[in-house]
Amino acid sequence: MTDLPIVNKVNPAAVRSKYAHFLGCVMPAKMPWAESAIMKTLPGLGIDLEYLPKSGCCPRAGVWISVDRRVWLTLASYNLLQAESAGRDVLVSCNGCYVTLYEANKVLKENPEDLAMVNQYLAAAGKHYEADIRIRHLLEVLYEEVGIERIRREAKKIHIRVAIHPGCHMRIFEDGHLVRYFTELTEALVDEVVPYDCERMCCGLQCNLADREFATYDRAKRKFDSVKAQNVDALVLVCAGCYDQFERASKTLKETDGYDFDVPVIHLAELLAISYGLRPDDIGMRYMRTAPVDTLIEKLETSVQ
Amino acid sequence: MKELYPWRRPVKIPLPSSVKPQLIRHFSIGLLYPVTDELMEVRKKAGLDPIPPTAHRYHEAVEDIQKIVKAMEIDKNMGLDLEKMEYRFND
Repeated sequence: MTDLPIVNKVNPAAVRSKYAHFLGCVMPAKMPWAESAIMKTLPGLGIDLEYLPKSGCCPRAGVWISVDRRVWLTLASYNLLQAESAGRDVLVSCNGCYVTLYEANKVLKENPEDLAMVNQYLAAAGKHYEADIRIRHLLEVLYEEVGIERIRREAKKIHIRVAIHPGCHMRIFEDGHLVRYFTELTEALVDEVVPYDCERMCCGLQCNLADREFATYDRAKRKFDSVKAQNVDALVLVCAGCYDQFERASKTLKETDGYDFDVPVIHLAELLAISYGLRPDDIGMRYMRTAPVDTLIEKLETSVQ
Repeated sequence: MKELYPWRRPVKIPLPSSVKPQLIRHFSIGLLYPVTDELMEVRKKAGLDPIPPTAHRYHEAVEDIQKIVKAMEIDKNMGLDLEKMEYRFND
């Protein structure tokens, strides 16, 4: 931990840090291809990356801040202290988990009384958190630390057209840098990023808690319709929360209405992995998908031959 | 405020039914989704360990979460029996 205060003071763009990868609930259970792509690709790009062990649910800030903020701050700290004790910053891919952990860490860094309160509860499990680490989004690590110019220069272009789904929580910062990073990184990897009507629309995940029908039909399906109209090869995202919603909604729509959202929903890291030389089967890309990926995989393999 | 709104007082809002099973999973396995046989197979095909290195693999993390939840008395507030993983009040 001795080098972390120095790391925190310098320009993040110039830092090469050690990271612990926070998986969250959805990625290890529903997106193993994304987890595999991240864990196999980033070390080759010079990122010192290990798993964040013993992690639980982030927990969902959207729920717990409204119900009891002690739970949000304390259970987030329980996850973060595992990285802190290993002398690592935290890398997060899911926008929802990122907001939960980033905001909790910020509150605890800026408010000693909140940190003291959290440590009082963590003591029940014999744990302690100093809030002395950074929480970084996968997009920040790729764009700033690996470097967008390097990726543009090195990455083999994949000859597909895609739509992107940034997701609400990617807009956490006023300057919008995460959305810009996501767009530019995707553009660096594929032939074309195709805009569509509902690109900014919420996936509908949080609406499920109040009205599942609204979440499915007035959010996910409207988005699906808009993406399908563009005839793209894939819908690209990084947020596991949004993926969870798209997976659930596409299944429901197929079972209830025979509606087929046949555009594969993929993770940016899969494109990065393929572009840097991994084969689709190296990351288990064929399994647990919302839509068949055979045609997409053919195009990916042809692109990088 | 009391003078202006004499009838206004805190009320207990029922826990939404959509949240209840999620909280039971969170507090009993540490995360919202379990590891199934199908998932273990797919994780192997992705070149990953069948059981992720999350609370799924480390049961002590689940025990820690339960100790923290009890210390905050969230379980009491929600009417959740952490031993039986049952709610005292059903819809």
